Amino acid sequence: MTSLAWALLALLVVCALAGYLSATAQRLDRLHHRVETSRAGLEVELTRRASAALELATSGELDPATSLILADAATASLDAPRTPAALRDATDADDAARWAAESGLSRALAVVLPAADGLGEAGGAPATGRVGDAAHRVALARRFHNDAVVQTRRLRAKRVVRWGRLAGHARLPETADFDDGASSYDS
Amino acid sequence: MRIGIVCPYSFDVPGGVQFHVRDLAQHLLSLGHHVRVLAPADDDAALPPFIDSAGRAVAVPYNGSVARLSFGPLTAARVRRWLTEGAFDVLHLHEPLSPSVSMLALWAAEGPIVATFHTANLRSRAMQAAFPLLRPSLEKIAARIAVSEDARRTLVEHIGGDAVVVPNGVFVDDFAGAAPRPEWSGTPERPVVAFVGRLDEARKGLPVLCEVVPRVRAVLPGARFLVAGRGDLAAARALLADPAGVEFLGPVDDAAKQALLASADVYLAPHTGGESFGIVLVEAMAAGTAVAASDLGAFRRVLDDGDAGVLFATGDADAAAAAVLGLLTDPSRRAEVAAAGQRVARRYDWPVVAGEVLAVYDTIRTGVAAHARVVADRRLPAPRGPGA
Repeated sequence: MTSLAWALLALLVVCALAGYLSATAQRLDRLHHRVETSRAGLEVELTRRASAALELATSGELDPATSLILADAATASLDAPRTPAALRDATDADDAARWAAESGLSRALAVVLPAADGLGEAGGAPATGRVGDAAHRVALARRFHNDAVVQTRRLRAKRVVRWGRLAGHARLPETADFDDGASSYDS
Repeated sequence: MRIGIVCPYSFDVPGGVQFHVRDLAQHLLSLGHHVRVLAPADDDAALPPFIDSAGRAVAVPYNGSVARLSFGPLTAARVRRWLTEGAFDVLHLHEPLSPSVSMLALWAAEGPIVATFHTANLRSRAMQAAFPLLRPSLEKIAARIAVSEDARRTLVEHIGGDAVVVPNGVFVDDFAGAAPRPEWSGTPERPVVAFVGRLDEARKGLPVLCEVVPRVRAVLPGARFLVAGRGDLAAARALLADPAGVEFLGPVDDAAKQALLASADVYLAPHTGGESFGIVLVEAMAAGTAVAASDLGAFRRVLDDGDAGVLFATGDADAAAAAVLGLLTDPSRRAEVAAAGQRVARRYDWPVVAGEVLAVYDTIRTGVAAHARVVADRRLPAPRGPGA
């Protein structure tokens, strides 16, 4: 009888443990999905910003010196490898180079765009307005992506995830560390 | 876009979050979006047509005040049904950490979720105890919005991760165009100071205001203080040493509030804490009234560090009285502060704020769509060789 009770207790413990592991794996899966989604979104917004910046640079609305600097920064961003495969296989050095290019574009745009106070107010020519809008979206997308990354890394650091190998072969996500020009958010 | 908005607090009683949700929904509807709002409400209550009731709300003490919340298995089932029937492109939850419909919706929902955090207060014991249970749900939120930098900081400190700041909105033109009422308008001998807020919540600052009254009236004996807001009038009067000079208007509707703010010479915000934004300050600024406010972080930011209003040390009646007197006795300074306030208030106009909210919706939807394309590409057969 006692052995039966022990067996039942052991079964109960195993079931509880399995339930916990499965719930944690599901959480992790959801977070990984969120990271991929937010990264894809960030990529779209970055492309949109670079295209809008290049359009502004070639629109003739700016002086030649500014146009040249902006076109250079926008091209550097557009030339960066951004296919899903390239993003999946990117090394830390690739990421660093990419974020340096994006920071460069942000700095070039900071000179061109009227001082927006984080509220998306952009005046002037339509091309300027489009770039301002796109730059704002980049700042939002970066925030949402980094939020997802931080939460994913937090869960992946837990012992149950590491010992249970719940993360499988998924790469540990890295935050997108570049200057997005939204200084008002960091004040 | 099909947008589902969930408000945890009952529409039977007015409150900042409820007004925010109602105005946001109204503005998004006017832009042509499909919007449904889910909130607790008595079923027979007269609600705007875009609000669905999640069931009767129960008054429970929560987070320092009595809130009317809705919970339990019946409500959870209703929330689930509402989500299924709504088939929303974006679900926007307000205050997902208050134990009501938003939390239930977060628990049940899948898909793109945006959440707005209104309060700066997450430090309760209950929250700390329940937090590990809530975390898995919170991880579903794709985009977090905080209504102020202070709310964002608390959020980041307590939950980690990050959030973007989108302030609360005000229909600025309704306040800017409000007609003053003669009985509430001040004269040089009888200037008017207005206050709007719950009378029975000490953190709204009524006790401080009651100490300010005699100090101001010692210099300007004709000064009138108009106090609007619900609460126990007898208890509020008991705080006053001398009832002269203070008029309690009781709860006021939107039109009366707009008229009151447009009529007053100075708006006094003596709050002592727990404020994450200060919408009423923006409303007063929009109405063209000079604001004197406690030096709380949220207020300092709304008033542009004192450029768009006068700040005084929080809870200090002497400093508050000096700030009010400074504005009342110097009409040109008062006009200057009021004009600066009106400029700043434009930032919080609904068209601007709703544009910000839509940018958040679009950003997360862009990610979902882009990711879906990536996944679809991955499922295609391997790249074809030449001539294939």
